[in-house]
Amino acid sequence: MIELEDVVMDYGSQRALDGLRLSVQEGCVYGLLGPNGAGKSTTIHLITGLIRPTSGRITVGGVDAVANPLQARDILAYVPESVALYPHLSGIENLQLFSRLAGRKLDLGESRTCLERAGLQADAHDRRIDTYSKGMRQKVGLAIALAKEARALVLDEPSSGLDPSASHELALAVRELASNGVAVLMATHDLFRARETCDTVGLLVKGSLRAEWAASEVKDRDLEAAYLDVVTAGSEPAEANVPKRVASSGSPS
Amino acid sequence: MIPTLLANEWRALLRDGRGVMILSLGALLAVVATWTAASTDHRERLGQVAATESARTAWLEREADNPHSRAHYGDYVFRPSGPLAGLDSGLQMVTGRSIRLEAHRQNAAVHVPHREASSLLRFDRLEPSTVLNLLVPLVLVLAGFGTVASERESGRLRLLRIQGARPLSLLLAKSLALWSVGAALAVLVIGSHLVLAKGAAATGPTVAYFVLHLVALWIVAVLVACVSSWARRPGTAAGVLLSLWVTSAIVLPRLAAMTADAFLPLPGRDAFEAAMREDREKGLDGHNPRDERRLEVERQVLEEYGVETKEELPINLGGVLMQADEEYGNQVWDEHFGDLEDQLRSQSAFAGAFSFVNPLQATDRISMAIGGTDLNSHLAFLQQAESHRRSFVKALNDEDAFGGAKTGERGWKADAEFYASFESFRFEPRSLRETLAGQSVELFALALWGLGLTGLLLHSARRLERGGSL
Repeated sequence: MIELEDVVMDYGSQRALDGLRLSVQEGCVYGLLGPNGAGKSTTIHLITGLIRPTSGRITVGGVDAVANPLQARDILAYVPESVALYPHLSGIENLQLFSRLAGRKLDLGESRTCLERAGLQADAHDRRIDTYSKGMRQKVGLAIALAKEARALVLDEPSSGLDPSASHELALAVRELASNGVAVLMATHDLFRARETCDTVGLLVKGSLRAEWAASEVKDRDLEAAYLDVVTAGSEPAEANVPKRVASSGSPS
Repeated sequence: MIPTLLANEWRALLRDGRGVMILSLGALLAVVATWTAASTDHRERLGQVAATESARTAWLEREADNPHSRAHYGDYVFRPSGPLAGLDSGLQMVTGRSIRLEAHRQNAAVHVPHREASSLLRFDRLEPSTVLNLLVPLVLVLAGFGTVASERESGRLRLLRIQGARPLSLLLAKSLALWSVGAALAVLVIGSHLVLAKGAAATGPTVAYFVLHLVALWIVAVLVACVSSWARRPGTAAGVLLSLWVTSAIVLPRLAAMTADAFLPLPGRDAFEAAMREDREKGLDGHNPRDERRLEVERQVLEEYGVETKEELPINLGGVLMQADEEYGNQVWDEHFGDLEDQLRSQSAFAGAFSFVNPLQATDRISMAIGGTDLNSHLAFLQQAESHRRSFVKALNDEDAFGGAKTGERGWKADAEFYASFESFRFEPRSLRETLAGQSVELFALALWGLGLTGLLLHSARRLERGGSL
């Protein structure tokens, strides 16, 4: 569903991505791990068509996201690290506004259903966003993605700053989406949440994918040790810490 | 998509306390300015009607007297307020609007250096044109500096774009939202004016004035949205836009006035009148003094009537000499005032060229022209008043010369019926078409600004499309 082939991205003389190859299939949650500056956000901006790569090919649902970003966005939803909504609108009004921009006119009932599916309590639906906690805003962001009925979802540090309970609820919602066939790419620093939520975990360092593991195998291993090997030493993880590298990433668990 | 985004902008404005405060302040200023200007305009119109009637009554009620005495008694002419003087008083406040017409001298030359010729230079007077030309653009800057920059800073711009909002639609919606704020204030100002003018407002100029400000506010709105889309932070956009406003509203108009005065100076009133007096006494070429001119006219008249002495003439030579002197004085006036008018028009054209760098100046100048309160309207009044004066004095001199009096017969009087035959002065304002034709440079400049801003809008949208959303 989401395919990146030999993607290079340069910001001036600075190379942010260096021949990145990545694939996320339908019904799969892919966790993209990496230290700050590794290229996670650049990868997300490229997939969402906000920037254009220096070279390489990016497709979403078979649509060339570089040549036809508008078409690619039709089947793509995005939840940023901190969902920025309109503070003068309520949760339900924000959902309706952003859904209308995506071409979906939700009535009140459909809007409430979406918000509830995203885990937002009913008594918050009509309150202004400026009274919401970060977790509540993330849930509205997820509701917007749900309402779009996108076939691919991209999340940028979705659990950052959330309390464990809110983070867990978000993870459940993401898993529910994947179980409905949505391909999910989730950039995160949260190793615990990645192990819990993802089917495949990739480790991005200095713009290239250094390792990729099947989550079913990584759950019993010390992912943190492997992560630190790569990040601190700048080398491949020690054999003892490396779970089995999946041949074809993104197979549903 | 644009209606959805536009509705959201309006909702944000109405639900945001700052937006409501800015709008309320703008509306309050608009209403107060319109009300005070309408009161002043109404009072002046009434005063002018009363003064015109009083001058006419005094003219008619005066006892029968000698035409030359009546020529010295003179008459007063009044320039009626421009059709939209209640919206833009323009030069009316500094040029004076009444002239005493009399024999031998023109009292009409009122020098209007360009430093007085723009409402952009007169902050002290709160009137509708000041509100629309200066304060509403400032309201748009204050309401809109963060319109795109805050979307970017908050990260909403990414979400908007990924949800399908196209940059061009977004910028158009933002511009339309800002423009609609300005348009609402313009409707408030012009609507209040129409109500307060009690049917006295001229339809054509009012519509033209409204359209002018809709166009000018669209230029400002697009500029605000584009600058906001280029700035990485709302504070940067605010700084840039406020600097642009200060430059356009304060610096450039003063620079235009100062440079116009420096490069194209006007003679002072005293110097202008002294030069006229000298030319009238000594002759335009300095070799044809008044006494010699009188003798030449006298010789021609005696020859025409085939007599030797002026006492033999069947007419009053004094009246003929007066008219001859008057006509020479007219030549002197035409030359001197022609030079002055050329200089005034050069100053005005020089200042008009600033319209290409400052749309507020273009708007201000067109606004005054439509209001009938600009330099061209004033010069048209001076020309018509002078033309009226010449007919008026010639009729009196002709009556003095050929009405029945003999040369040297003092105390001869024309009857009241003769004086009643004089028609009152009626100022014929320029048509709207002529007015707009006279502002072709400013209209062209405004059209260029419109085209340029459309180009900037498209370029800004492409920039957002290519990665400026981050």
